[in-house]
Amino acid sequence: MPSVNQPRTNTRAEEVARKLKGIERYNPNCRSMLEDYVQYQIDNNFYDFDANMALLKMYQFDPVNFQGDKVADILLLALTNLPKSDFLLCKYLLDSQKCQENPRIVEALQFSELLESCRFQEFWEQLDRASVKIPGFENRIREFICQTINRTYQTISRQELQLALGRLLGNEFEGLIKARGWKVLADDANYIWIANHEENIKSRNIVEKIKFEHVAPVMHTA
Amino acid sequence: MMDLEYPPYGGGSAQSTSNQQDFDHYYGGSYGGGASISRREIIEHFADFRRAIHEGPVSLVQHYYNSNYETMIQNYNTDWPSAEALKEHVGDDQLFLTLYKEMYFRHIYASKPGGVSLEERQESYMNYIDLFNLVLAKDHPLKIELPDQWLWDIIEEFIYQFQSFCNFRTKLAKRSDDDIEQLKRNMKIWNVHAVLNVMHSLVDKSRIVEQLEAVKKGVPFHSGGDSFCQTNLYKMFGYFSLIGLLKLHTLTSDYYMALKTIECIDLDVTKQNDVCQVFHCIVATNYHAGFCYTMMRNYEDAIRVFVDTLIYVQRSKPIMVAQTFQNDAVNKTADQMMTLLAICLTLNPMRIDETIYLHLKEKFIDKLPKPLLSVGADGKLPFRDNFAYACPKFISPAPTIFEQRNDSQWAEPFNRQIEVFTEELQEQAYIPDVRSYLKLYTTMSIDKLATFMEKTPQEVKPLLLTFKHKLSGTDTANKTEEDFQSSADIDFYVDKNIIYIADTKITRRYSDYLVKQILKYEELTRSLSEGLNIRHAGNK
Repeated sequence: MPSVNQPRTNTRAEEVARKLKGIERYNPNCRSMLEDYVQYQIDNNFYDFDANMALLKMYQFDPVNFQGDKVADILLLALTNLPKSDFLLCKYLLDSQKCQENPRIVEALQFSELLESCRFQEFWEQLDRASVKIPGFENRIREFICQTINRTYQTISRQELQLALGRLLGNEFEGLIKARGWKVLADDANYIWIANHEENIKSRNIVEKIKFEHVAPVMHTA
Repeated sequence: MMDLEYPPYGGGSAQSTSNQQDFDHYYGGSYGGGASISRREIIEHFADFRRAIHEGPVSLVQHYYNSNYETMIQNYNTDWPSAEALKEHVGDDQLFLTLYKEMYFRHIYASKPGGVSLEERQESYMNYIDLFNLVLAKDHPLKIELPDQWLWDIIEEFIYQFQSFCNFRTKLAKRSDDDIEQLKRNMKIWNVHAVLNVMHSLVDKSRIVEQLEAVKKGVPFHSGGDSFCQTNLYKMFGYFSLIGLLKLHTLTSDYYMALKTIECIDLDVTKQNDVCQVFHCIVATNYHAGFCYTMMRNYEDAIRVFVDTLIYVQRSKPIMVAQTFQNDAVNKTADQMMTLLAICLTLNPMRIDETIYLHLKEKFIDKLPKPLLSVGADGKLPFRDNFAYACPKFISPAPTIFEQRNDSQWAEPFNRQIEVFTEELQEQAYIPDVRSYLKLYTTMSIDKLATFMEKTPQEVKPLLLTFKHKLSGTDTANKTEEDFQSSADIDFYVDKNIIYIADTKITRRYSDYLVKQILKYEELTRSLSEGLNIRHAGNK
């Protein structure tokens, strides 16, 4: 067996992943490590879905240990991974009664509903009233919003876009447009060009192509 | 070395002179007259069975195993002899007795009127622990070979009995005080950690994940002298344990972990067939995988898996003759998949195989409420019934709160799942309407759509965004023609205030059908002319 060089850097993520291998994933002793790790993700602006799911699973197995605040943090982190269905997967593991009892969880559920139904303006209004202490949260949500707008619009009105992207200062807004390769229309500054969908989204009429090999068996002289 | 010595049972001719009391002694109960198979034959059968297990070949074991169920099922009134009774005849063969008890309890679970008692559940659990200890806790692999079907049945039954126990301990309304006391005192029996431990141990011992990944990459698997993972018994136990975990995670609504567990398995039925020839296992695997996809809103993948599997089931029907009790299970699972497929297609319309679609439309799609979440006259949601039929029977792994003497802890898992699924559907509630209006035009102003839907333009814009968010699997730019063959039927983009709609029309494929018919016709003419030639030859 050839020897493999162990990488020098044992990042926290790798360490956690190692502890969650196989049956150890369900070991109740891992719980506090996973709870600390959630805060670590928040502080260091990154996201580990697998570890968070392991923690939710532990709460499912032992509801006495349920920590509402940790769950709320996990849910907010899951929102930052939209459009992936992380949030939905988390929901299935949660006890509905316990969720209703924690106001931060209720808030996270409301955010999810607004974002999933693309009511972006309402989302930003709600966020204003809340206090989400996750650095980078807004930016990642904005990323999701931009992606969805990218898929849907070829050209969008400036006002529409501003409302969808929430409280951005003037130069931040312009900066974002440039960064995403969007352009203000030359002939009408009220509209912003997003993506060229004309080329890709066209009506297609798919006609059957009959390959020769397919009919060769039947094409022979009688 | 196993002691294969056992007192041979008395000669056949002596049978008719034995008296009734001897029978009762052997079989631990009264011998109900009129059963079509005698107790002696049963004992003899199991003695032969035992011999086959130790001596092989595995095909003989398979034969006994299959005929076992045929004979025993036909004689449902026949009580299986207790293990103690059998021991007297076959000797103290722990391995065989443990295997026998596994079948014995399986029969009890399947057929006992009035339900399985707590004692029986506990005994069965202890037997499983004994069995898995025999398999795992040794330095050398067990030297017997068992048919794959049997190994699958053991794992499947193990998970099923765990599920049954969770139901038993949460349906507290009818639980006797005695039972509740017993349950409280024996929290370790059928504990979820123990079940997980068994599964994971089997997976680890067989190194099945490594083996499967090697197959996927097309490289050989090097066992490095590990004799366990080379034995078919361990390999298949490992494989079936992966599926057991898939099932367990789905039952506890952890769809993420369920799919992650079977990452190493290619869900394509032909690829699965290379590794595992147990028909029921493949169907169960794909049912659960497809269900997880559905819950995750991954409708396209769910649809592909379901259609693939349903075609496979259809094609395999002639082969499904062996075990009738398996056939019922497969048919039920197939129907559940059809229901789920109908739901997924309603949420994410796309083209699928014609034959499946025709069958689906008649029996399943037309039975779904339209729209899905419509409320009936009685204020109830008919969709609940469709979902309840199609979904697995969820369980809660959390400890029971015995003070709550009602069935709420039993009902809670299902209620939670359908609650979340319904919320997801509510977020998508307007998409079918948007789709049907868009289909009518190639361009439409947002204002016009708003008028149709009796909403304001401001309300309609989020609906368009939601449509894209929920249902765009891949971006249109990267789609190839093959993708279009099966993908969603409609796409659009918004430019300023106008919606531009793209429809994908696929013309019917005739070539396949024509080729098939031509070949059939040729076959027909050929056999006719051969038949005529023979007759002429005969007449000469």
